[in-house]
Amino acid sequence: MTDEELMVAVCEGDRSAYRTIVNQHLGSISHYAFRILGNSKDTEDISQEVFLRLWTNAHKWQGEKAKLSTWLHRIAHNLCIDHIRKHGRVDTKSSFDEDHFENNGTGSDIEGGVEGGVEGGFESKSEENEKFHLLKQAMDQLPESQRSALALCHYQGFSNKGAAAIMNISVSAVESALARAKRSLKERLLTAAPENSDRQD
Amino acid sequence: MTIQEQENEQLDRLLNQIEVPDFSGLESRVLNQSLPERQMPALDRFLDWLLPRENFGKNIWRPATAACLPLVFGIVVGNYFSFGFNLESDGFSYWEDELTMLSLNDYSETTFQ
Repeated sequence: MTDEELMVAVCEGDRSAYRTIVNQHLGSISHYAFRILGNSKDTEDISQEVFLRLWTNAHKWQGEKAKLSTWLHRIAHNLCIDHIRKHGRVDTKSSFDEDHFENNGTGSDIEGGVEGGVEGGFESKSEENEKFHLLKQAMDQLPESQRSALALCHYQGFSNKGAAAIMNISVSAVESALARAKRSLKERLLTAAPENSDRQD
Repeated sequence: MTIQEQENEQLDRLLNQIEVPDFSGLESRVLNQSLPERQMPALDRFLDWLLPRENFGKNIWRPATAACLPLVFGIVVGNYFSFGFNLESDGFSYWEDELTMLSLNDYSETTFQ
């Protein structure tokens, strides 16, 4: 069934169509919410709310204007932004167990951990892990718009145009946010690298 | 490969390493949440009532009633408002004038000649 057919069925109260949409989109919605919110509890609450809105507002979706995934991401984005504005800064402690990560070396079995080893091979694992920690911290400090642009374009695979539609900003604003986010992360990693080397010496 | 390209590649690699947790219980939570009755727009609800998709034969009186409404409305409105037409008084004055005109005719010269 196409998205249009599924949404027509949902409009008519078909719960099996609703279940199909949940199966198709829950993964990407929950991943996006986690990238923005940074903790599991809020992610689950927001994901649940997204699909509740899908059920209650299905008739508002206009297939000719936006794909279903774009529409759902837009709902998720708005809910995440509202949540952050209401409840202040995101608590990322619960999303990443640093002690566990340090003890095990890799964090493939934990929330937000590093999966797999270093592919490049030109850096030691500890250096890579150090950079990973720095990157996590730097990402947590990014402004909402930059983090959203990065999450949508880098992780969710949206084009700049798609991300702009979800964030309700212009394409050039998305490009700018994305470029600033990457520059900020690189600067953070580069400035931290000499400090780490000094510490190791 | 330039230094900048290496930096970009390293950044992308590190970004790709940040995984999200497995929300194993989330799917059942979302599927089992109580879904409220959807609030359809009033027009859609009215059309659904007027032209039901099931048991249309039993509910044929609904569109039939709706079709009669303009007629009923016209009768009611016509009873209350004259819209500038006063048929009774116009009729009387018309016939009185007509009789007066007829009485002035000289039929001996025209009809019975």
